[in-house]
Amino acid sequence: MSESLAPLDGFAFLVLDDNRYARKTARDILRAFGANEVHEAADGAAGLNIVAQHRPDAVICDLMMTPMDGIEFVRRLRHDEDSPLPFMPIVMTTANASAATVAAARDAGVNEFLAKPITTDALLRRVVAALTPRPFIRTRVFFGPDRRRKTIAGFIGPDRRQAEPVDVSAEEIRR
Amino acid sequence: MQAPKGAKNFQVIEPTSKIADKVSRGGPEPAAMISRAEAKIDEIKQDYGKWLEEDMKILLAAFDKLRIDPANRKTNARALFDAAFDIKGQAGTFGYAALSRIAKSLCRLLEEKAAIVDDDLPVVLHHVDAMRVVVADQIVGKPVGIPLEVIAGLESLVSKRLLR
Repeated sequence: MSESLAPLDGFAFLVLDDNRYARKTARDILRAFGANEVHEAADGAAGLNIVAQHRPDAVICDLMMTPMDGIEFVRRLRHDEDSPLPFMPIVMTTANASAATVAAARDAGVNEFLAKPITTDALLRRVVAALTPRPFIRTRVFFGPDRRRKTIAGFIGPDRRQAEPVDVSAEEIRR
Repeated sequence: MQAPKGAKNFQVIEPTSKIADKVSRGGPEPAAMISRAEAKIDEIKQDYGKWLEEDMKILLAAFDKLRIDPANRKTNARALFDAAFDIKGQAGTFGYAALSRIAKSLCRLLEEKAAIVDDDLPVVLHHVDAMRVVVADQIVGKPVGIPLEVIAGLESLVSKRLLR
Protein backbone atom coordinates (compact mmCIF):
# COMPACT_ATOMS: atom_id res chain seq x y z
CA MET A 1 0.00 0.00 0.00
CA SER A 2 1.39 3.38 -1.02
CA GLU A 3 2.67 5.78 1.63
CA SER A 4 0.72 8.58 -0.03
CA LEU A 5 -2.66 7.15 0.97
CA ALA A 6 -4.58 9.50 3.16
CA PRO A 7 -7.56 9.10 5.45
CA LEU A 8 -10.93 10.04 4.04
CA ASP A 9 -12.35 11.56 7.22
CA GLY A 10 -14.44 14.57 6.40
CA PHE A 11 -14.96 13.69 2.73
CA ALA A 12 -18.35 13.58 1.06
CA PHE A 13 -19.08 11.14 -1.76
CA LEU A 14 -21.78 10.39 -4.26
CA VAL A 15 -22.30 6.72 -5.12
CA LEU A 16 -24.03 6.34 -8.46
CA ASP A 17 -25.25 2.82 -9.29
CA ASP A 18 -28.55 1.38 -10.43
CA ASN A 19 -28.08 -1.67 -8.19
CA ARG A 20 -29.09 -0.84 -4.63
CA TYR A 21 -26.90 -3.55 -3.17
CA ALA A 22 -23.89 -2.22 -5.04
CA ARG A 23 -24.70 1.24 -3.68
CA LYS A 24 -24.97 -0.09 -0.14
CA THR A 25 -21.69 -1.97 -0.45
CA ALA A 26 -19.80 1.08 -1.74
CA ARG A 27 -21.48 3.34 0.80
CA ASP A 28 -20.57 1.11 3.74
CA ILE A 29 -16.97 0.73 2.57
CA LEU A 30 -16.58 4.50 2.12
CA ARG A 31 -18.01 5.10 5.58
CA ALA A 32 -15.55 2.57 6.98
CA PHE A 33 -12.80 4.59 5.28
CA GLY A 34 -13.99 7.61 7.27
CA ALA A 35 -16.27 9.40 4.79
CA ASN A 36 -18.78 11.44 6.75
CA GLU A 37 -21.32 11.91 3.96
CA VAL A 38 -22.30 9.41 1.28
CA HIS A 39 -25.12 10.35 -1.07
CA GLU A 40 -26.70 7.83 -3.42
CA ALA A 41 -28.45 7.92 -6.78
CA ALA A 42 -29.54 5.28 -9.30
CA ASP A 43 -28.80 7.06 -12.59
CA GLY A 44 -26.83 9.89 -14.13
CA ALA A 45 -29.60 12.50 -14.15
CA ALA A 46 -30.32 12.01 -10.44
CA GLY A 47 -26.57 12.10 -9.85
CA LEU A 48 -26.21 15.50 -11.54
CA ASN A 49 -28.92 16.89 -9.26
CA ILE A 50 -27.13 15.58 -6.17
CA VAL A 51 -23.80 17.03 -7.33
CA ALA A 52 -25.46 20.44 -7.76
CA GLN A 53 -27.23 20.24 -4.43
CA HIS A 54 -24.63 18.64 -2.12
CA ARG A 55 -21.33 19.30 -3.93
CA PRO A 56 -19.59 16.08 -2.86
CA ASP A 57 -15.79 15.75 -3.01
CA ALA A 58 -15.83 12.76 -5.37
CA VAL A 59 -18.16 10.42 -7.26
CA ILE A 60 -18.07 6.63 -7.49
CA CYS A 61 -20.01 6.03 -10.69
CA ASP A 62 -21.18 2.79 -12.30
CA LEU A 63 -21.02 2.63 -16.07
CA MET A 64 -24.20 0.76 -16.99
CA MET A 65 -27.29 2.59 -15.78
CA THR A 66 -30.54 3.71 -17.35
CA PRO A 67 -31.80 6.10 -18.50
CA MET A 68 -28.56 8.11 -18.19
CA ASP A 69 -25.47 5.91 -18.07
CA GLY A 70 -22.14 6.63 -16.42
CA ILE A 71 -20.38 7.85 -19.56
CA GLU A 72 -23.10 10.41 -20.27
CA PHE A 73 -23.05 11.51 -16.63
CA VAL A 74 -19.29 12.14 -16.82
CA ARG A 75 -19.60 14.00 -20.13
CA ARG A 76 -22.35 16.22 -18.75
CA LEU A 77 -20.45 16.93 -15.56
CA ARG A 78 -17.27 17.77 -17.46
CA HIS A 79 -18.75 19.67 -20.42
CA ASP A 80 -22.09 21.27 -19.55
CA GLU A 81 -21.85 25.04 -19.36
CA ASP A 82 -23.80 25.05 -16.12
CA SER A 83 -21.93 22.09 -14.61
CA PRO A 84 -21.49 22.81 -10.90
CA LEU A 85 -18.19 20.95 -10.56
CA PRO A 86 -16.47 20.16 -13.88
CA PHE A 87 -13.24 19.12 -12.11
CA MET A 88 -15.01 16.58 -9.88
CA PRO A 89 -12.86 13.51 -9.12
CA ILE A 90 -14.65 10.49 -10.59
CA VAL A 91 -13.97 6.78 -10.14
CA MET A 92 -15.87 4.70 -12.70
CA THR A 93 -16.79 1.12 -11.83
CA THR A 94 -18.11 -1.63 -14.07
CA ALA A 95 -18.44 -5.38 -14.27
CA ASN A 96 -17.63 -5.07 -17.97
CA ALA A 97 -14.02 -3.91 -17.90
CA SER A 98 -13.10 -4.44 -21.56
CA ALA A 99 -10.39 -2.38 -23.22
CA ALA A 100 -13.09 -0.53 -25.17
CA THR A 101 -15.02 0.42 -22.02
CA VAL A 102 -11.89 1.59 -20.24
CA ALA A 103 -11.00 3.75 -23.27
CA ALA A 104 -14.53 5.18 -23.48
CA ALA A 105 -14.49 6.06 -19.78
CA ARG A 106 -11.04 7.64 -20.02
CA ASP A 107 -12.04 9.68 -23.07
CA ALA A 108 -15.21 10.84 -21.30
CA GLY A 109 -12.93 12.26 -18.57
CA VAL A 110 -12.96 9.87 -15.62
CA ASN A 111 -10.05 10.05 -13.18
CA GLU A 112 -9.87 6.36 -12.30
CA PHE A 113 -11.41 3.09 -13.42
CA LEU A 114 -12.24 0.14 -11.19
CA ALA A 115 -13.38 -3.31 -12.35
CA LYS A 116 -16.14 -5.00 -10.37
CA PRO A 117 -16.30 -6.99 -8.18
CA ILE A 118 -14.72 -4.29 -6.07
CA THR A 119 -12.36 -4.98 -3.20
CA THR A 120 -11.78 -2.64 -0.27
CA ASP A 121 -8.10 -2.28 -1.10
CA ALA A 122 -8.69 -1.46 -4.78
CA LEU A 123 -11.48 1.01 -3.99
CA LEU A 124 -9.29 2.86 -1.49
CA ARG A 125 -6.42 3.08 -3.98
CA ARG A 126 -8.65 4.40 -6.77
CA VAL A 127 -10.44 6.90 -4.54
CA VAL A 128 -7.19 8.30 -3.18
CA ALA A 129 -5.71 8.46 -6.69
CA ALA A 130 -8.80 10.32 -7.93
CA LEU A 131 -8.64 12.76 -5.02
CA THR A 132 -4.95 13.48 -5.62
CA PRO A 133 -4.83 16.71 -7.64
CA ARG A 134 -3.87 16.14 -11.29
CA PRO A 135 -3.76 18.63 -14.17
CA PHE A 136 -6.75 18.81 -16.47
CA ILE A 137 -6.39 19.05 -20.23
CA ARG A 138 -8.78 20.88 -22.51
CA THR A 139 -8.67 20.35 -26.26
CA ARG A 140 -11.40 20.70 -28.84
CA VAL A 141 -12.37 17.08 -28.36
CA PHE A 142 -11.42 16.31 -24.75
CA PHE A 143 -11.76 17.78 -21.30
CA GLY A 144 -10.64 15.82 -18.28
CA PRO A 145 -7.70 14.68 -16.16
CA ASP A 146 -4.41 14.38 -18.02
CA ARG A 147 -4.48 10.94 -19.62
CA ARG A 148 -0.67 10.80 -19.60
CA ARG A 149 0.33 9.16 -16.37
CA LYS A 150 4.06 9.68 -16.78
CA THR A 151 6.57 11.74 -18.68
CA ILE A 152 8.89 9.70 -20.84
CA ALA A 153 12.37 11.21 -20.57
CA GLY A 154 13.93 11.83 -23.96
CA PHE A 155 10.71 11.03 -25.87
CA ILE A 156 11.06 11.78 -29.55
CA GLY A 157 7.94 11.73 -31.66
CA PRO A 158 4.85 13.66 -32.64
CA ASP A 159 2.91 15.59 -30.01
CA ARG A 160 -0.54 14.10 -30.50
CA ARG A 161 -2.23 16.98 -28.71
CA GLN A 162 -0.66 19.37 -31.20
CA ALA A 163 -1.62 17.04 -34.03
CA GLU A 164 -5.32 17.34 -33.18
CA PRO A 165 -7.47 19.60 -35.39
CA VAL A 166 -6.59 23.28 -34.96
CA ASP A 167 -9.84 24.91 -36.10
CA VAL A 168 -10.51 26.11 -32.61
CA SER A 169 -10.63 29.57 -31.15
CA ALA A 170 -8.74 30.55 -28.03
CA GLU A 171 -12.12 31.16 -26.43
CA GLU A 172 -13.26 27.61 -27.14
CA ILE A 173 -10.09 26.24 -25.56
CA ARG A 174 -10.58 28.30 -22.42
CA ARG A 175 -14.19 27.35 -21.91
CA MET B 1 -11.43 30.34 -36.52
CA GLN B 2 -8.01 28.95 -37.38
CA ALA B 3 -5.51 29.01 -34.50
CA PRO B 4 -2.24 30.77 -35.28
CA LYS B 5 0.46 28.41 -36.58
CA GLY B 6 2.59 27.14 -33.70
CA ALA B 7 0.01 28.11 -31.09
CA LYS B 8 -0.94 25.45 -28.57
CA ASN B 9 -4.33 23.98 -29.32
CA PHE B 10 -4.73 22.59 -25.83
CA GLN B 11 -4.84 24.05 -22.36
CA VAL B 12 -3.38 22.61 -19.17
CA ILE B 13 -5.38 23.55 -16.08
CA GLU B 14 -4.36 22.97 -12.48
CA PRO B 15 -7.68 22.54 -10.67
CA THR B 16 -8.01 24.30 -7.36
CA SER B 17 -8.97 21.90 -4.64
CA LYS B 18 -9.82 21.83 -0.98
CA ILE B 19 -8.66 18.26 -0.82
CA ALA B 20 -5.16 19.12 0.41
CA ASP B 21 -6.69 20.86 3.45
CA LYS B 22 -8.85 17.88 4.23
CA VAL B 23 -6.12 15.25 3.97
CA SER B 24 -3.70 17.17 6.15
CA ARG B 25 -5.82 16.66 9.24
CA GLY B 26 -4.45 13.22 9.97
CA GLY B 27 -6.35 10.03 10.74
CA PRO B 28 -6.04 6.27 10.67
CA GLU B 29 -3.39 4.45 8.64
CA PRO B 30 -4.45 2.86 5.33
CA ALA B 31 -4.08 -0.64 6.83
CA ALA B 32 -6.48 0.31 9.62
CA MET B 33 -8.93 1.73 7.09
CA ILE B 34 -8.80 -1.48 5.06
CA SER B 35 -9.32 -3.59 8.19
CA ARG B 36 -12.31 -1.47 9.15
CA ALA B 37 -13.77 -1.80 5.65
CA GLU B 38 -13.13 -5.57 5.60
CA ALA B 39 -14.96 -5.87 8.92
CA LYS B 40 -17.85 -3.99 7.31
CA ILE B 41 -17.81 -6.37 4.33
CA ASP B 42 -18.00 -9.30 6.79
CA GLU B 43 -21.08 -7.68 8.31
CA ILE B 44 -22.70 -7.14 4.91
CA LYS B 45 -21.95 -10.77 4.00
CA GLN B 46 -24.70 -11.73 6.45
CA ASP B 47 -27.17 -9.84 4.25
CA TYR B 48 -25.66 -10.89 0.96
CA GLY B 49 -27.31 -14.32 1.16
CA LYS B 50 -30.71 -12.58 1.05
CA TRP B 51 -29.65 -10.23 -1.76
CA LEU B 52 -28.35 -13.19 -3.71
CA GLU B 53 -31.61 -15.05 -3.21
CA GLU B 54 -33.46 -12.08 -4.74
CA ASP B 55 -30.95 -11.75 -7.59
CA MET B 56 -31.28 -15.48 -8.34
CA LYS B 57 -35.09 -15.21 -8.41
CA ILE B 58 -34.78 -12.42 -10.98
CA LEU B 59 -32.28 -14.47 -12.97
CA LEU B 60 -34.47 -17.60 -12.97
CA ALA B 61 -37.58 -15.61 -13.95
CA ALA B 62 -35.61 -14.02 -16.81
CA PHE B 63 -34.40 -17.44 -17.95
CA ASP B 64 -37.96 -18.83 -17.92
CA LYS B 65 -39.12 -15.94 -20.09
CA LEU B 66 -36.24 -16.47 -22.49
CA ARG B 67 -37.18 -20.14 -22.78
CA ILE B 68 -40.95 -19.87 -23.16
CA ASP B 69 -41.30 -16.64 -25.09
CA PRO B 70 -39.27 -16.92 -28.32
CA ALA B 71 -41.17 -14.02 -29.89
CA ASN B 72 -39.45 -11.58 -27.50
CA ARG B 73 -36.13 -13.32 -27.28
CA LYS B 74 -33.99 -10.20 -27.74
CA THR B 75 -35.69 -8.34 -24.88
CA ASN B 76 -35.68 -11.42 -22.68
CA ALA B 77 -32.01 -12.12 -23.38
CA ARG B 78 -31.25 -8.53 -22.36
CA ALA B 79 -33.17 -8.99 -19.09
CA LEU B 80 -31.24 -12.18 -18.38
CA PHE B 81 -27.96 -10.39 -19.20
CA ASP B 82 -28.83 -7.60 -16.73
CA ALA B 83 -29.59 -10.13 -13.99
CA ALA B 84 -26.37 -12.06 -14.60
CA PHE B 85 -24.40 -8.80 -14.88
CA ASP B 86 -25.56 -7.69 -11.41
CA ILE B 87 -24.50 -11.01 -9.90
CA LYS B 88 -21.18 -10.90 -11.75
CA GLY B 89 -20.43 -7.47 -10.29
CA GLN B 90 -21.46 -8.18 -6.72
CA ALA B 91 -20.74 -11.84 -5.96
CA GLY B 92 -16.95 -11.56 -5.99
CA THR B 93 -16.92 -8.82 -3.37
CA PHE B 94 -18.55 -11.26 -0.95
CA GLY B 95 -16.32 -14.23 -1.71
CA TYR B 96 -18.47 -15.92 -4.38
CA ALA B 97 -15.71 -15.92 -6.98
CA ALA B 98 -17.03 -19.01 -8.80
CA LEU B 99 -20.50 -17.50 -9.08
CA SER B 100 -19.06 -14.26 -10.44
CA ARG B 101 -17.09 -16.15 -13.06
CA ILE B 102 -20.04 -18.27 -14.20
CA ALA B 103 -22.17 -15.11 -14.45
CA LYS B 104 -19.39 -13.51 -16.48
CA SER B 105 -19.38 -16.45 -18.90
CA LEU B 106 -23.17 -16.22 -19.27
CA CYS B 107 -22.94 -12.46 -19.88
CA ARG B 108 -20.34 -13.08 -22.58
CA LEU B 109 -22.66 -15.45 -24.45
CA LEU B 110 -25.66 -13.12 -24.15
CA GLU B 111 -23.70 -10.03 -25.12
CA GLU B 112 -21.49 -11.32 -27.91
CA LYS B 113 -23.96 -13.61 -29.69
CA ALA B 114 -25.79 -11.61 -32.32
CA ALA B 115 -29.05 -13.43 -31.55
CA ILE B 116 -29.91 -16.10 -29.00
CA VAL B 117 -31.39 -19.13 -30.77
CA ASP B 118 -32.89 -22.41 -29.53
CA ASP B 119 -29.52 -24.16 -29.73
CA ASP B 120 -28.07 -21.64 -27.26
CA LEU B 121 -30.64 -22.43 -24.58
CA PRO B 122 -28.95 -25.60 -23.25
CA VAL B 123 -25.74 -23.61 -22.78
CA VAL B 124 -27.68 -20.91 -20.92
CA LEU B 125 -29.37 -23.61 -18.82
CA HIS B 126 -26.00 -25.14 -17.86
CA HIS B 127 -24.89 -21.74 -16.57
CA VAL B 128 -28.10 -21.17 -14.64
CA ASP B 129 -27.91 -24.65 -13.10
CA ALA B 130 -24.28 -24.16 -12.11
CA MET B 131 -25.16 -20.85 -10.49
CA ARG B 132 -27.98 -22.52 -8.54
CA VAL B 133 -25.57 -25.16 -7.22
CA VAL B 134 -22.96 -22.58 -6.19
CA VAL B 135 -25.58 -20.60 -4.29
CA ALA B 136 -27.25 -23.66 -2.70
CA ASP B 137 -23.92 -25.16 -1.62
CA GLN B 138 -22.49 -21.74 -0.72
CA ILE B 139 -19.32 -22.36 -2.69
CA VAL B 140 -17.08 -19.44 -1.80
CA GLY B 141 -13.40 -18.62 -2.22
CA LYS B 142 -11.10 -19.10 -5.16
CA PRO B 143 -12.53 -21.86 -7.40
CA VAL B 144 -10.52 -25.09 -7.32
CA GLY B 145 -11.23 -28.73 -8.17
CA ILE B 146 -14.70 -29.53 -9.54
CA PRO B 147 -16.03 -25.94 -9.49
CA LEU B 148 -13.00 -24.84 -11.49
CA GLU B 149 -13.51 -27.67 -13.98
CA VAL B 150 -17.19 -26.76 -14.35
CA ILE B 151 -16.30 -23.10 -14.97
CA ALA B 152 -13.70 -24.06 -17.56
CA GLY B 153 -16.28 -26.29 -19.27
CA LEU B 154 -18.89 -23.53 -19.36
CA GLU B 155 -16.41 -20.99 -20.71
CA SER B 156 -15.39 -23.46 -23.39
CA LEU B 157 -19.05 -24.07 -24.34
CA VAL B 158 -19.58 -20.33 -24.74
CA SER B 159 -16.48 -19.99 -26.90
CA LYS B 160 -17.75 -22.76 -29.15
CA ARG B 161 -21.24 -21.25 -29.44
CA LEU B 162 -19.73 -17.89 -30.33
CA LEU B 163 -17.85 -19.50 -33.23
CA ARG B 164 -21.12 -20.64 -34.87
